[in-house]
Amino acid sequence: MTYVNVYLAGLVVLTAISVYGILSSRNWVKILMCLEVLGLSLIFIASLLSLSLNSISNIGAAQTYLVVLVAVDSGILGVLIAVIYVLFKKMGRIEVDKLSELKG
Amino acid sequence: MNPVDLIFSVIVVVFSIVSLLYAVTSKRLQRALVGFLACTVLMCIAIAHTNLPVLAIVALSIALGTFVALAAISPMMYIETRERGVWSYILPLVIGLVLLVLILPILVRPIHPPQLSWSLDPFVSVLLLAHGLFIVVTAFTMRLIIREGEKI
Repeated sequence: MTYVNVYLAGLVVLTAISVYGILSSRNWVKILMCLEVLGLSLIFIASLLSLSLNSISNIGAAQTYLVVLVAVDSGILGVLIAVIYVLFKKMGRIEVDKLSELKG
Repeated sequence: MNPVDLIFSVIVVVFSIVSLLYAVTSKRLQRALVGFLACTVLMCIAIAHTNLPVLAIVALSIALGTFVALAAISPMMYIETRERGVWSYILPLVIGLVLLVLILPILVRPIHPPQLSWSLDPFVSVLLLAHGLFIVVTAFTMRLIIREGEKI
């Protein structure tokens, strides 16, 4: 067992805790935090598995793919923060359950 | 295998799990943000430790940017929310399924760290430029939607 296996096991636990946080939390900021940790841990797992198991021979291409994934993740987060800010300005609260009031 | 690497990895993993648990279970948003920051920084240290420095630098910049954005908007959204009933039978089932699916590739064989590389593929600039343009267009679109929504 190498130290990479330890990191992978820890990342799997982090992923599970993030899923737990997304499912159990009502606060938008906490959901965003868990989404960010989930994205980072999944990207890290994918990079370690693809680079270490030689399924992608070119390490530069693999890192390029992963950097692009991180950039897309950041774009999604920015859009979500903008939506939450507008929701709070219009409704005065950020609880997910109260968003049903947006129905027409 | 160097035992120092193994001990260091165990310490980093344990502290990151503890900080994420603190962030998820804390009722105050400010404390949750501190836990989130600690967890992401520890994850970036772990990425750098596994010979992926470029990815670690990008992930650190993204994590710090996210922390600043969340910290900037959290005071105006300060609220203590009542959490859902967390120990229903569905939630442990989903988490157990995620753990099972993700832990399987790790059990296949011992995984060695990848080769150290400081360079990126030549087409990285084109891909990053394209996605940067996508993010800028998305931001302008959101700004337009917000402005039109404020008029209503």
